[in-house]
Amino acid sequence: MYSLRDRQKKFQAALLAISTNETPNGLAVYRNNVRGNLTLTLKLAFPATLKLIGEDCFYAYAEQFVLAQPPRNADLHLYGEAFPAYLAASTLAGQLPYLADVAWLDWAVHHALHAAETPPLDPQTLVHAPESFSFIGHPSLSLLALRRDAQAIWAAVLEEDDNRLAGILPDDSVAPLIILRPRGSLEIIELSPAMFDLALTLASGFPLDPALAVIGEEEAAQALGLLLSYGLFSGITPKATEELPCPPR
Amino acid sequence: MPASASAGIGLRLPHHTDFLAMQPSTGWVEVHSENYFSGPALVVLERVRADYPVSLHGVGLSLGSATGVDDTHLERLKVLADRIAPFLVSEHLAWTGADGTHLADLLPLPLHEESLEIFCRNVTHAQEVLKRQILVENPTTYLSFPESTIPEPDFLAEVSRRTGCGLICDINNIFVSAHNHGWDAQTYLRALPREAVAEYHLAGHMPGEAESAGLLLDTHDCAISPAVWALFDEALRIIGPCPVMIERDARLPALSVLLEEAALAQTRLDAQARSADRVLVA
Repeated sequence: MYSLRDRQKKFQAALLAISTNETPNGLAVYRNNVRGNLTLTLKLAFPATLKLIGEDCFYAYAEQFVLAQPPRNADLHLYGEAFPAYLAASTLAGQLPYLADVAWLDWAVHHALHAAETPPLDPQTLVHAPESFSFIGHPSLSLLALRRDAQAIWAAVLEEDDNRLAGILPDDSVAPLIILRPRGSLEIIELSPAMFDLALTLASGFPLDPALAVIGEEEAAQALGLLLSYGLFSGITPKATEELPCPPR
Repeated sequence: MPASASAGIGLRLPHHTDFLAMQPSTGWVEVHSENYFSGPALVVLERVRADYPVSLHGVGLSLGSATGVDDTHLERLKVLADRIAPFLVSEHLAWTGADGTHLADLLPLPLHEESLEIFCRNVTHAQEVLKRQILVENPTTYLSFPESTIPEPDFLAEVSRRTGCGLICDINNIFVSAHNHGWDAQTYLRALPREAVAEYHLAGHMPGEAESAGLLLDTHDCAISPAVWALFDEALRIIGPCPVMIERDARLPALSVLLEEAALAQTRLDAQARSADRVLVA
């Protein structure tokens, strides 16, 4: 007789195996439920990607992904983060070079909508900040450097505006975006490359002074004020000077 | 219990706006806990909770898992329960994945002494963390395991006896599983400990097709069948009245359709209460 643990491992492996015509009909119900529920989860998290490539194509790639990388967390809102990279590595990416970036934008919006409700950092907090500290990125924040045409395609597809979609010219230059929901409503903001680097550095937990030194002291106060106004951070944490890492340059 | 022996509905995300606008006179609502762990839906649930008793019905705790429940998931459920103050918290006699994987389905549990011990240990742990009793629902199953030695209602009765948990008696699940396994549904109902049953579920089902031909499927995508209504009447006679929930998860109709089914369930609850009164008077 199987132990419960062995039975469950064996049953799970059968559910995730490539289906055959010999699957007993009871097992087939569970296999179809698992694949159906997980592909539906991806469908809800990637609405523009779904509309861009169509239901049949989406389900084909989603099912492959589900079998290769099933969820590791029971909160299915967290499932799908690796799907854009999966699409980027697929043969589909050769035909639609902007596809993975559209999927990344879908995921960033989904992430922002389901992140913990946290107020943005009040700039007044910095008046009493310790001498050395680093910022805590807002939990809804994503920083994405996407192809410039991806955001326009994403918006046109979601609005089902075929005329606008047809008029979008290929543009693989980089658009540095922040996507966040610090005050209840979703924000998608394009930053300058220098501001994006600063945002990425600070939101990654690198300390303030070396990061600001990179863009020059004259612009530092203005740049920091702008990022604070966007609600990029949810708090600060003190750091000992001798433990400071170098910013990622 | 604020929703004692009244009919409620499963409130799903597409009905949020209509529900807030209608403010219907349903006795209570039940939601899937995991849909409110994060995101804007939680704000809606808090508004609903201001006017209605709420039951939290989970699908991801995996109480049947041999490796125990996911404590992160359990803690998030506790945060939600502390925030919403539900009148019921429930889960399933099922597991959802092995060794850290989660498959988003209620998978069947072999029913024997080892699984009984594990299931009871997980229920006890959940109740200790949540600091409250939970209810465990009988699942729909589509296969059985050769190593199973304990009939499902006996397993549930023993879980309740050992852990103090209550039970959801899902009438449709009993009907569907009885068909799929050749059980007698009334015998199943009589084997449940009536004092532990704290809620009924009613839902629709469909016959399987193609590779599922011959099975009934717990689809939750259609009206409750006459045969399930009849089994519900039987359950009211055998077990007695308690809160009943109309459960629809796919092909959602207008909210008013669910409310009409809830009204039908309420009529049956009321009829059973009048019948019980007549017996007491006699």
